Amino acid sequence: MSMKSNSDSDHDKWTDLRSTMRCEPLLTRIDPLLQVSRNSCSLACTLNAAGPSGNLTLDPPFFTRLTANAGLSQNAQRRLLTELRSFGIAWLGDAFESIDGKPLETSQDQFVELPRFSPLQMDQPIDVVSFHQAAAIEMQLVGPPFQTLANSRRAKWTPGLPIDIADFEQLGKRVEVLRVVTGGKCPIGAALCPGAVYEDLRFLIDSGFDFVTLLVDIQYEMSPTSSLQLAPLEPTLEQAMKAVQDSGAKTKILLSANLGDGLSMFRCLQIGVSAVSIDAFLAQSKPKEVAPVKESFGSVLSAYVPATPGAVLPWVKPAMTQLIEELRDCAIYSGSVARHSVT
Amino acid sequence: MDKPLESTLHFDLETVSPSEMLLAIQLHCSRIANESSDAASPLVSVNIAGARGQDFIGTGLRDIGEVAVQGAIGDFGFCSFGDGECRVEGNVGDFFGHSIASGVLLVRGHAKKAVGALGAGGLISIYGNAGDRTALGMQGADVVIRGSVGSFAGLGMQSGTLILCGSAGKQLGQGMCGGAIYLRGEAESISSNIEEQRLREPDRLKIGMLLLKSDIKSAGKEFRVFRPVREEV
Repeated sequence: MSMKSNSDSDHDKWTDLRSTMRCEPLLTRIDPLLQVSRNSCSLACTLNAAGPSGNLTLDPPFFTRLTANAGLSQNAQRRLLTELRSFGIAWLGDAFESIDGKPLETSQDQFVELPRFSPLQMDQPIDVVSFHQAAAIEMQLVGPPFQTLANSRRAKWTPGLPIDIADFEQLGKRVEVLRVVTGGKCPIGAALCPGAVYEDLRFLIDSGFDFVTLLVDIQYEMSPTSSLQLAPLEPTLEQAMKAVQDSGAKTKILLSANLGDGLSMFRCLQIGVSAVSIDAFLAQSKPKEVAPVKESFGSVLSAYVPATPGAVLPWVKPAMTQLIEELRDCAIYSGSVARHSVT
Repeated sequence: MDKPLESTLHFDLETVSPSEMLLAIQLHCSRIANESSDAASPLVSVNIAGARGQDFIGTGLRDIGEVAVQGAIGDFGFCSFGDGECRVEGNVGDFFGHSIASGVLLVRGHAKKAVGALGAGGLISIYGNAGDRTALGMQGADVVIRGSVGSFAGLGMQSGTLILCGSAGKQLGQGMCGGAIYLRGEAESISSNIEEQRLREPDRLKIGMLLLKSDIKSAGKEFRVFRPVREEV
């Protein structure tokens, strides 16, 4: 009798859990500080926001989020960017305040050539200064407010909206604010952790974002095993492309996924993704004998670590060259060389 | 050092949009900064007329002297404002002074929702009443409301000061983690996240100083202070 009741109770727990397994769309995550607005809104809501301009162009169609997500020190970030410089890879992160003690204007020069995505966290003020020389602004629609409940790695990447969004129309106005402060020159995007992909993308497209970065996988360290999968790739991409197609907007889709070779990247680009992340590829290309690229000496000791740009990440350039070769082969095979300039 | 260059700009929002005005001010500031030979930053005064509730007025304005607005402004007015002093003669809409970094914003009328949301520094003073969610998620700014405020004032506040000379609505200080709320009137209900503490001399000095900056005459004695509940270890 007791066995049965235990089993029943376990079954009930599972049933309860299963009923909560459906990922809630962003529209029901409005007002995260109060969490009272759990009533869903209709799709394709009519907003006052201006439509996406679609003026984001990444050539080559690659970007890296390792500079923001992998826990790299500023020194390690600079070394990585130095290696990627000749390839023109876009990167996500705050502008460097100083490099080797040199003032910003002169030290920043070598990284200006690389397009920088300026991140805007969901609970941070809009800081116009941080958008200086940014190629794009990416609103991070992830995490609990003020990271108060982020007690696990996955919880840190919970889909969410900025804390000041109490009404679905306000997201569009927030995008407009960013357009005004940047003079309308800077594309505005959002980083989205896939949940209810179709609904969320329709909502973001209606809010006027120029591009959406789908975070299917997160490379949280520069190591092949340090990848966190947030959603399966194929169904996510399928829903994302359908959402863009149905909306008829010019919004571009960027993809951060566990793409370890040129062929998988090329397939995503062929489907219609505008740019893909090279984070997983870089992490998987790192030779095993090389020490982890993470200077965890703390704030005091890291100041004494000598900066040796270009000397510590020797595998990056050969790996990138190989990736370009692979992509060129794929492009030649499919006959679409002119579509993405991979040469 | 020489006296900094002074100039005054006039805009009529019947003829220019807020973003065109911002661009013109930025161009003017950079031009006279290039012309000026000394290190002193130029003082630019801006007079804005024809404000009839348009959104985004003054958004992105930084490093200017004084701004005077005749009329009412809409949502997201003076968002991300910094280093200057602004006076608005009419009412303001939602999210006035959102993400303010520094400087002073004085409003002669009333304000709608979420005044000073995510503000990181500076002072916002409202002579009338303010709506719900005043000082939402504020991170270091000071907000003074001469009248009363709606519900959820100080929601998710991280640091900074909220002075309420009138009364407050429901759930004052909900989810507040830092900072202080000074209240002169009554609150409809007070969140369990905050507790009343004894008003000390530094509090009185702070209230007096902020009220003085806001052009409000008061001794700062009748206030009660609320701070987040300290968790016992």
